[in-house]
Amino acid sequence: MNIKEKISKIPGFKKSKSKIKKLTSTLLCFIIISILILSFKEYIANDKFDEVVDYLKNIDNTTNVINNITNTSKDIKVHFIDVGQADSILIQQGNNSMIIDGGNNADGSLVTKYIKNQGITKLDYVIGTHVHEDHIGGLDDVINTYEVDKILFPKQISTTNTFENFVMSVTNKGMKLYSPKVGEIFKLGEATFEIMAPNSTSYEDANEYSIVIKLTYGNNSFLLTGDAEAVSESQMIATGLDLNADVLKVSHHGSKSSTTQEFLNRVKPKYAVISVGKDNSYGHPNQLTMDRIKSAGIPVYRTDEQGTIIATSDGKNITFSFNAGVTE
Amino acid sequence: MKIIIDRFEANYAVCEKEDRSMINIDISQIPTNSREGDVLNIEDEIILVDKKATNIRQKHIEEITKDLWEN
Repeated sequence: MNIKEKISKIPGFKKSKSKIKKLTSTLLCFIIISILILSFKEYIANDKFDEVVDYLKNIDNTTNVINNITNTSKDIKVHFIDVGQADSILIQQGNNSMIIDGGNNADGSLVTKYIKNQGITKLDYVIGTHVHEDHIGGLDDVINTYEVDKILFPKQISTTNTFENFVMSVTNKGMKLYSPKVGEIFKLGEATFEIMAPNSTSYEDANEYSIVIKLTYGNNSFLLTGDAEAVSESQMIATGLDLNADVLKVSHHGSKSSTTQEFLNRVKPKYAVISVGKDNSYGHPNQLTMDRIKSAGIPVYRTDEQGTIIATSDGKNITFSFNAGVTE
Repeated sequence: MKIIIDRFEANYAVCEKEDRSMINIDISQIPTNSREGDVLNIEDEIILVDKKATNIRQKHIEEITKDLWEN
């Protein structure tokens, strides 16, 4: 028996040899595709490059390569996902991402699929603004599906099965909730967000417990309010925190009990976004609220009219894009 | 049928059925002292607050959330 035969008799030798071959060819493929795409970027105008990326995204085998490229984008993207009469906001900056609320119970698979389609496998933060089903409904599915670093939730409970399912998704992961304090600042990649509310530990109205954050990226900022109402709004003003923001997610689907004139004056948004269901039974958004926003000359984007709304910022300018076809 | 009041929106109590699907019930059809989190019992179109079931749910949720927050 010669050396070659002897070596081939060693258990696992053939297997590891083929593994090395496989690894080398995968690596080669990756390098070739990377070079091709990078050279594309050199010669194609930016908007055309985006088209190419979109096209390649549809090809399953290249998904991982493309994700690496889109994630190196410095822009921050705030997706107001169209979940009907409910809230769900996905935020991405570089390789970091977070979600605020997960739509209704029935939206769990829509939201998890939407996250997956962005190439996200891990969420740095999950925020449940407050206990109501139109905010935490789909969060159990999100927490069950993705690796999550931290879950922010106010100290508030509900007797619903929806809330119990949310709690079980947290405890089944061996995780705990974190109740953030006003003024606390968290990092999301190169962006930060500051806690603006709740400013009290006890409210009569469950909506007032809503966690409100101000997300800042470069010179741009977003005030994301959950369902905070007039009481919480007046407390936010009283704390003296800087409420001024470029984009205001209008609280409580544009109900009349939120977005007071005084609050609007403090935030002074350049754009307003309302997450609301088409022909909903609750008269959202309320006409008086709409009048307050419109008389200030603020353009309003609504998920019932535009579908999913994506605000993209490079730290200086914010652009909006829409995807009417995102819902199932 | 037993349902739980999740929230109030405009003229409706938004309630959770046992299968987690949601229904709107006109506020005029439920007892005036109803609160969020109450378990409602619907029988022959009569809706009453089931205080016993509400207490059981409340205790159960308090139990499973005892050490839920890290701070």
